Amino acid sequence: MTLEPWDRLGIAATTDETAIRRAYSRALKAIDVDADPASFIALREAFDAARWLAANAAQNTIDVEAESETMMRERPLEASVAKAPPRDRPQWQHDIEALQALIWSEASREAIFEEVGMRTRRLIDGPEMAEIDHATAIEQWIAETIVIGIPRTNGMIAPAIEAFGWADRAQRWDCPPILDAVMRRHRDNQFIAAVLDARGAEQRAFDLLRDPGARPDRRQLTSVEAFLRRLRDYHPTIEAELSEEAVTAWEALAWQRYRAWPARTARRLRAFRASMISWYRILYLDRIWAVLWMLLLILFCLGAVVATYGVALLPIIGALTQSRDRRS
Amino acid sequence: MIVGIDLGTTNSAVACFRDGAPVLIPNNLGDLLTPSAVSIATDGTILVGMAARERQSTHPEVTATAFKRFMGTARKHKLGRRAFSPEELSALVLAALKADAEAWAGEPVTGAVITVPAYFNDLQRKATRRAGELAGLKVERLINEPTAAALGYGILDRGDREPFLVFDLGGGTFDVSIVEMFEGVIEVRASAGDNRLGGEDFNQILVEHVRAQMGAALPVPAKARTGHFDEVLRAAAERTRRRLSDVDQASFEFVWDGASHTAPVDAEAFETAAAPLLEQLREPVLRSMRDSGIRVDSLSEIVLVGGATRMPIVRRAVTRMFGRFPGTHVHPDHAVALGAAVQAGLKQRDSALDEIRLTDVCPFSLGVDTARRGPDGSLELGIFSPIIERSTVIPASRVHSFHTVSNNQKRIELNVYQGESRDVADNVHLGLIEVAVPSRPAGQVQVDVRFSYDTSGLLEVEIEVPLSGLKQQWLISNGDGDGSPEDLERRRAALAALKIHPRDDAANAATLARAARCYEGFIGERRALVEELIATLHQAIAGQDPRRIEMVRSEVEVALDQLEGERFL
Repeated sequence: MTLEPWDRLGIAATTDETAIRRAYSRALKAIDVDADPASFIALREAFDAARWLAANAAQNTIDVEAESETMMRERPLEASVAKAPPRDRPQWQHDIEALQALIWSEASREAIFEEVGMRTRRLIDGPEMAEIDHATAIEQWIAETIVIGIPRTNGMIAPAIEAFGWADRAQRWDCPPILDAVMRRHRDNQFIAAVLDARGAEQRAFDLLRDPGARPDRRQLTSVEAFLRRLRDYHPTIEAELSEEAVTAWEALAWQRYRAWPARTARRLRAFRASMISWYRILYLDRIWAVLWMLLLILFCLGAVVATYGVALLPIIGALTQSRDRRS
Repeated sequence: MIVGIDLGTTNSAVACFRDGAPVLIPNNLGDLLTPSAVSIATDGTILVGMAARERQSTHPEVTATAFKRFMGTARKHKLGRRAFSPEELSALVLAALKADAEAWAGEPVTGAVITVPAYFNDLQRKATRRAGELAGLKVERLINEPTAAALGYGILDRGDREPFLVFDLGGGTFDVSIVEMFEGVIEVRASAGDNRLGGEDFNQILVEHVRAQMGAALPVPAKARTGHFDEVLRAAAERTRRRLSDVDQASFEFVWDGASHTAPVDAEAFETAAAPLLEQLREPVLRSMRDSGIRVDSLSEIVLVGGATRMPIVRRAVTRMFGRFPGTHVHPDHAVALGAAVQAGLKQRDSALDEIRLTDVCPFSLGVDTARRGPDGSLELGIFSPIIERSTVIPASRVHSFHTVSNNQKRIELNVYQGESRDVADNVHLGLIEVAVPSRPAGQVQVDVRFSYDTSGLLEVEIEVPLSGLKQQWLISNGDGDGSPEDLERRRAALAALKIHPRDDAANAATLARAARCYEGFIGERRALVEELIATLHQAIAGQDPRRIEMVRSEVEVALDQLEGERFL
């Protein structure tokens, strides 16, 4: 049944989109879709496969110049930024450039937070946003910038999620990965806000991990280690917020503790206990009572059998002894 | 003869394919559009169309309009003593259209292509098909409204066309489709929409706006008459909204308890009040553009369809969205019915359409709910797993395999859903299928679920358990009744037993109903004049001379036109 798409379309392999369409159209007119949906489905699959093959073949032979041209076309924003004359450029272009400059500047995260948020909001509220192409391009640009610029783009997240309805889109099964990434980042930010708000052990651990000057301390080690593990398992984007030196220092301390003799002995003891438990299981010692009861039951059964045989044998033995008596 | 029927929220139309072109069929009043309204006259007969619509504000308790909005739900409209389901009311409208077509063409109508909003879900589509069957029509096909409009537009010159966008804002529903034409193939690339957004919502907004504006000056109706009062306001809103299409300033006028009330409304204030609705138009457009991967600047045209796109505020919103003016090549009210007639022509294999083919897409994702074991072993339930993804070209057929999640699971319950949310609770539930499976350890039993989606947008599900060789088909019907042929026959008989108002009297009934509405809507001198007109018409009808009746009726219509402005559809 599996025919090459080209056979089904009745043409030789080609990269010419028009030829593929013409062949598809010809084949489509030859079948009655309502009466025979199966052949339409097969034809459609062939059509899609052929177009895919053609597009891929075209991609492989494309030269660098053409490719850069298509990239320019796919990125209308940068292209139009580059082309527009500097004098009468609209506000949104200034905002985009300013945002890029801010995000990659040396200023601290907290210092740029307000301005990043303000410029993002202005970008979103701009009059050009009524146009769909512009809105789509801006949306894409903001999402990409947020993800690339973590953690310095925190100020952009809340206004963008609200304006573009990303929270709703993240509920859909076909949510694009980039929006998923933004929403995860947003959740992580909320988690950190909650941690800082609660002022508990986790908040202390977070502060210690953020402070490059803090000396790791054995008394805090357990809670810091647990917090770090939790971050890595559930809130991976937050690691970018921690001080690298602090994390290294705490990890070194943890490693040191891991290698120290008390921990080593404890691990050995645990391993020993685990092996004991497994042997215990292998020998059915955890079910010792069940095994004993089983043995008892078997013994009882044997006893019953022996007893029955004994009772049956009695008259026979009696009869044998009697016959011997008679003979004698 | 197969006809194409546009079964709309406010108006319906019927058309057929003749001599190489689609033709709209006029009804017995000579109008190309028939209001989708049903009313029960004082003598117990059923009025459909204009006469019923005119009775909306005078006899709201025995009149139903906009019932298309409740298609596929169990809601009943109580008209007098009998309760009608939305599909029965639609069936009455369809039967009236069928009678019009038969009277016009002089041959029986055997089948129909009926249009539905692209964003109608499976329940609503099935209800529409049942409505057609109840009306005694063989439903050859259901076709999406924007697709029909595109078909009608596409065969105009039959040339290849870059993708164009059909923006269909009707009385109650909103659809967007992106369509392309090549080599005689009209291909829908993507569809999106909102099946609860249309002209009626704009009326509602206008009523609320006026309510807020008038405040204490607004009369307070007695509890039992609030329904009536709402209808009066709605009718006034419709009139004002239509006037606002031409002028910047209109007055919202209505009469309640013999007193006349007016409130000035300017176009700008209306636009501000309607801003949330205009904002809702954006999301489906964005979705269809995303799904088709097409950019606005590569669209060759924006085609506006549906009566509500006449509103200047909607046109402005469209212009803002696309950065250009929409095209005005098609008639917003006729395009859908004409397209349906083209589809009917395709069905009849009309030789003029030999070189035309149409492919549509599935506007929703269809799938089942699944469960998943989390990393800690807990069972996560209700995750939507799509089988046919939206924008798949139909007819389509796809198989997905699922496995058991628990040891010794005895059966698998598959809930079929339609929608886009990850959480099935937010999607439309279409039905439930249970299959028995052999008990094995978790993950060792496989079921193959096949979804087949036909050209009318109706779904069939087949489940196979390869391990036991069991096959099962989806046999669940939703909506009222059990969906069996006997049940359908019984309901058809019940509908046929209803007495329909005689067709040749429909024009008189419509004029009388209009006069009655005007009588209630006017006070003073004008009311007296209307009373006189009614009396004259009654006299003429009693005289039973058809020529005289017609003459008097047209005189009355002209007089009413002068009194309240032209009658509109």
